[in-house]
Order: sequence, then C-alpha cells, then structure tokens
Amino acid sequence: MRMLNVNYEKCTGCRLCEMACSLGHFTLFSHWFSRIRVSKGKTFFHFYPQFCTQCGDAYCVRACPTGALERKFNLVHYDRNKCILCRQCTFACPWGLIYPDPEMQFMIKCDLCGGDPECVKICLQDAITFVDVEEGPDIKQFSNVNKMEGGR
Amino acid sequence: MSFRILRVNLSNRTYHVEELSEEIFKKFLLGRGIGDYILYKEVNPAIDPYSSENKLVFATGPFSGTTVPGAARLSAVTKSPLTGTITSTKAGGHFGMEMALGDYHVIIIEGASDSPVYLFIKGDEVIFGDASKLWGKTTSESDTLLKKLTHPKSKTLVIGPAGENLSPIAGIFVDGHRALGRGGAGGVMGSKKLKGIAILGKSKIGFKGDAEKYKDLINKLYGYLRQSEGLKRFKAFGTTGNVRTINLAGSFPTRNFRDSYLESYENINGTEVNRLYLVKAGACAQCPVSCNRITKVEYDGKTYLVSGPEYETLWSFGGATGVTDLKYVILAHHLANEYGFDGISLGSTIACLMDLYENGHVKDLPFEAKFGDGEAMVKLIELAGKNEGIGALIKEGSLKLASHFGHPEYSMSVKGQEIPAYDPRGIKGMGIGYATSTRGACHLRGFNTSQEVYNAPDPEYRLKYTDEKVDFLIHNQNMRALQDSLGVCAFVGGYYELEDYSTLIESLWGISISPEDLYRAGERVWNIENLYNRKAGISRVHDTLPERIFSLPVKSGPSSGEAYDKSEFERLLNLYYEKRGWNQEGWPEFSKLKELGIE
Repeated sequence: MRMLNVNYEKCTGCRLCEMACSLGHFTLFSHWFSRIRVSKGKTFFHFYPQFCTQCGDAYCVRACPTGALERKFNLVHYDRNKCILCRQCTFACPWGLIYPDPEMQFMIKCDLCGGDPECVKICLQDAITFVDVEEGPDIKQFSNVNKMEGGR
Repeated sequence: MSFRILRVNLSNRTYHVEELSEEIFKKFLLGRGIGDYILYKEVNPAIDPYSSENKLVFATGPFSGTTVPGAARLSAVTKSPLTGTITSTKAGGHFGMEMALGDYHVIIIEGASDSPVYLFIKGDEVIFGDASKLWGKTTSESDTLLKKLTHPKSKTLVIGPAGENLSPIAGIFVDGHRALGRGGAGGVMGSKKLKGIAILGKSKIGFKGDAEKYKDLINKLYGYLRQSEGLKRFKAFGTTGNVRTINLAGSFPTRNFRDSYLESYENINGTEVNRLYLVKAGACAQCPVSCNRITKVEYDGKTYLVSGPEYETLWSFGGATGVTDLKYVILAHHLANEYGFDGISLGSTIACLMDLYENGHVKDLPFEAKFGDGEAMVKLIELAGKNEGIGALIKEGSLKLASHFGHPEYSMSVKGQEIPAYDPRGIKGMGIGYATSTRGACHLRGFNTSQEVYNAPDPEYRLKYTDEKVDFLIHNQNMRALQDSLGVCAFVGGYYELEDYSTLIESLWGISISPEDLYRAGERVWNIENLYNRKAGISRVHDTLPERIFSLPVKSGPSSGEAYDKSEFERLLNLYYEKRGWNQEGWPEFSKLKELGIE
C-alpha cells in the first residue's frame, strides 16, 4: 500500500507541484485548480505542501449528504455527478483540503492521479514522494536521527 | 492572443488594461524585451530618471505560471539613475509567476505619488493603499506587513530605506529577499513614493496550442534535469562554488581591483558556507534547481536568517573589501538586502571607500576603514542604510563617492555601475563585455567566462585577445537578451535548445515563431537598448573600462603581471562595433536598424 509523503524540510516552495497538478487534471495552470497547495510558514524558507491524505473515517464523507464522497480502496473517492456543491465537506475537513474550483462547478480534492501522482514526478527536491506506507515514517525517523547526530 | 498589460498611473491613481499585439510580441517577446520597447516608445531618453516622466515596467516571460523549469523570472526596466542608460534588472522569486497567473504579463508604473503608496493587484481590481506605516521599514518587514495588509498568499515587490532615500544603487525586492538589484530601479520606485506592490493571481493559463506537444517536451526537459551532474553540483553549492573556480582562474578582483587573487579564498568558499552556515537550499517559483543558500549567522547576540550569500556578494563583501571572515560577509549581504541595496554595487562602493581611506584621501571618518575590517564594513552599511554621515555618500555609489573625494579613478565602474566579480584582466572577453554592456558593467549581459574559463581549450586561453572572443560575446549578449525576454533563468538556460522555446510558445500560446526569429529578437533587444543609450548621450568614450584595469598589473595569483592592453582593447572594440553593424561611435547603422525592423 502506498501513500503520498511529504518532507517539509526539503520543500523549497517552488510550487511546481501546484502547476503540475492543475496541468494533469484540467490541462491548465492555476493554483486554484490544484489539489495540492503550498503554504508558506512564518519564515521566508519554510513551506508546507498540503493535500488530502485520504482519511480512514473521513469527516468529509460523514458530512456529505448525497454520497458523492465515499471511501473505497483506501481512497476518498469523489463523484462529481452526485455532488450538489453544498460544500459541507469543505467546512467539515479540519485541514481545508477539499474545496470548490473558482467557478464553483465541482469540488477539488486529491485522487492520487490513479496511482502515478504528477506532483511527485515533478518534484526534483524529492520533498513529495509516493511511497509504501511503512516508508513514510522511516524517512522522517531517519532524518531525525541525522539531526540528533548533528548533521543537517 | 492574450498577453495583458496593466498600466497604473500613480499621479492620478488610475489604471487600465491593454492588450499586447501579436506583432510586437513576435518582435520583442516579453520580459526585458517588451520593457525595452515600452521605454523606447514612451520615455524620452533625455529625462531625469527621478522625474515623474520616467516609467517603471515590470514584465515576466511567456512561460511564467506553467511547469517550464526555471522560467518565471521577472524583469524591471527603467531609465537608470546610476548610469543614465536604459536598465533592465531581473529577479527570481514568486512575483513573476503570480503576475502571469493573474493574467498580467506586463505592469507599467507611470507618474508619481505625493505620499507613500502601495498597490494591491487582486484579480481585476487594483487598490491604492496608504503606505505611510510601511515607510522606513526594511525589506523583510515591509514584505511581512504588506502581506498582512493585503492577503497572506499574495506575492510582493518592496523597496527598503535605500530606495526611499533615492539611492541609485537601490534595488527592488521580491518577497523581501530576491533582488531586482542592479541599476537603481529601487531608487526610481522610491522617487514615485511607491513602497510596494502586492499581487494575488486569480486567473488561470490555458492552452492555445497543442498540450500534448507541451507535455512531451516538458518530460524530456525534466529527464535531462534529473540526470544532470552539473545540476546536482549546483543544488549543493548554488553559485558559491565559483569562489574557488574564479580564484584559480586568477580573476577574483581583490581589494578594489588592486589584485586579482584572494590568498585566503578558501575561507569564503562555498564549502565553508555549507559547512558552517547553511540551513537549507531555497528555490524561486517554478524552479527545480534550488541554488539559493539559506544561512544562519549570529552576530552581536542576535541570530539572523539570511537568504544568501551568492557568489557575487561573497566577492563584493569578501574579495573586494578583503574581508575573509565569512560571518561578516554573510551579515553584510543580509544588511544590504534588508536596507534594500544592490549587493554588488554596495560592496564595491565600500571597497572603493576603503581604498581611498588607506591611501589617505579620506580622513574624517569616525572609525578606521581598512581593507579586511569586517566590523568597519558592517558599520558602513548601517550608515548607508540610515543615510547618515559618510553613509549618505556611500549610498550614491562608488563613482559619486570617489569623485566627491577628488579621485574618480578609484571607482571601479563602467558608466557609473560597479564591475562585478570577474576581473577583465584575467578574462579578456569580459572586458569588452563590460565596456559594451547596455546597462553599465554587468557580468550577466555577455558571460564570456563560460567560453574562456569553464569550457576553455586551455587555462591560458582567457588571457588572449583573439577575435573569436568578440563573436562569442555578441552571441552571449544576444542569447541572454533572448532568455531575459522569455523569463528563463541563466542557470537552466543551457538545458534548452532554441527549438524548445519555439515549441513551448507555440503549444502554450498558439503563436508560431521560428528559432531564427527568436534569435533575431534577442539581437533586436540588444540593438534597441543601445540605440536608447546613444540617444541618452552615451558615446564611445563611455564604452571603456576604469583606468586601473589598463594600468595596474595583477600582483599575485594565476594572472600575475596581467593588465588589459589598451591598444588591444581599442582594436577589439572597433571589431565589436563592426560586427554589430554599428558605426565607430557605437550608433547602429541605418541598414542594421532596417534589417531588424526598428523604427
């Protein structure tokens, strides 16, 4: 089983992932159409790419009145045809990671590009990776060990 | 066709949107090229750069706001208060990308405000805000405040106290830390009382051509980038690794060009930056390279997080001033950014002051200012930023400073703009490049170091006065003009073929333009800049180098004994004019202008 993994320390905030995401899904370029959004931290060099992490018992699924959101195959699946654009999912999601497009036609949320995420392919910093579930924490733990031993 | 121009008038606080015609785009592209064209058409070359008639044009390239790697750079074009020439200066950061995603590729700032003002460009709306609370703040403070006042996700351009004080070596800062440095665009912005611009792009870029073609090419480019060894090195060191390379090529101007080799260069080299100060690598918008060094330095009980240093500032605050304690060099870089100065010009001006001081031409300083004194350098930058005492002279740049003390020959500048970190005595082609650069001394305009050092046939090649160096120079100048007009960064420019640019423009914008025409556009941009300068009063006598380059041989290092031979210089300059299709006074011939379609 694989998951999208992010290493904040490596992210340079270049936002190529946003552009690649909107290109992959909508054949256009726009932050507002991207399912991954990079937020800047307090300093000028801390960045936090954010995307739907496909929760197990997802708040958005619980809030959805029409069954447009449904969890299957470890993915929170969104069905545009069943959606009435009530946006209750946006309010329910604690991280604000499902939202409508600027023209209010549909909701935007990560679908892992069917297993080959565009954001991962374009990230030459390897800040975003698509890894086996066990590997994600491994990366983090390893970089922590590095820090404790005085590396960077 | 959908390149939109936002024209803002600060005098009467109005704005409107114009469309760029396809014909003009094909001739001048965007970025630096369109900026030059607008200035050429609309701003009289004879005006005072600080008058309200001067305009400030911000323009990004046609690939901004896409996935084209390293191609979201921003150009600012204006008449320079430092050189009196046209100047275009470029920066990375996120403003260019945000402009494109807001569906504005060009922003023209006209007139001047009576009181401090900021602009917030939010979708189709432009808000004129009161900037009196921002006035006097440093660049990073201004950036933070402006984002608070407008939107946390907006991208900003700000000036620091240097720009407010009308310093001709002041820059404009993207998101508070990436500099539109050279040529004094910050001073022009200050003269308009424009403290900052915030932008929030609310639009999108769609395809007017074949998206599949675009994707194929992009995949190919990222394939190269992933495998490139050069890129890996660049990611590890940024530009700082150059300190070693250029010292070993005997071309590292040391102590205000009294030498060309810093004996303890290892102390300020990239490996030391990484070992002692590096926190993280940073990158500009849309760029996979991450050349930016983010460092942490402690001084006087305070901790500073610094965006930098770069090779150029390691030189200007290190080699030029003879300071080899890296802590002071990084701190100086930081302070220059915070006060809003161009790091190259400021460092070189301080080096000039130290030189004057050591030779007894400056006497009434409150403290000693000898070469190598880091404390003094930091104090001098503080004074320049606060516009106090000797600082009021430093902020005017080295030529005015040296002239004030009766020794203009101490200023290592061309047309008033300080020479950057490649000594023409050690790399001869750079000399003709500095002399003929359309914005005063500049390494980016014609980077002959590439052919004469990095890819040289032999280590002595850089010292020869061969004719082919003029050909290289003209080619480099044209190519860089093209890249700047496409918003492509020099550090990834090498991965593109001319055909790639054509394909990208066609697939994204549906405009077909051949590789030959693109190259032509680069040449056209260079010619229109030169024509503007000649009209502004620049002539052959200005296309030269400081006397010290001709008369003072290098003392130590691999270029020992080398000066620039004056007669060889004149010969190469003649050859340059001839090959450019210009007359011996440097004016383009009518036939050349006709050939390029410049009216």
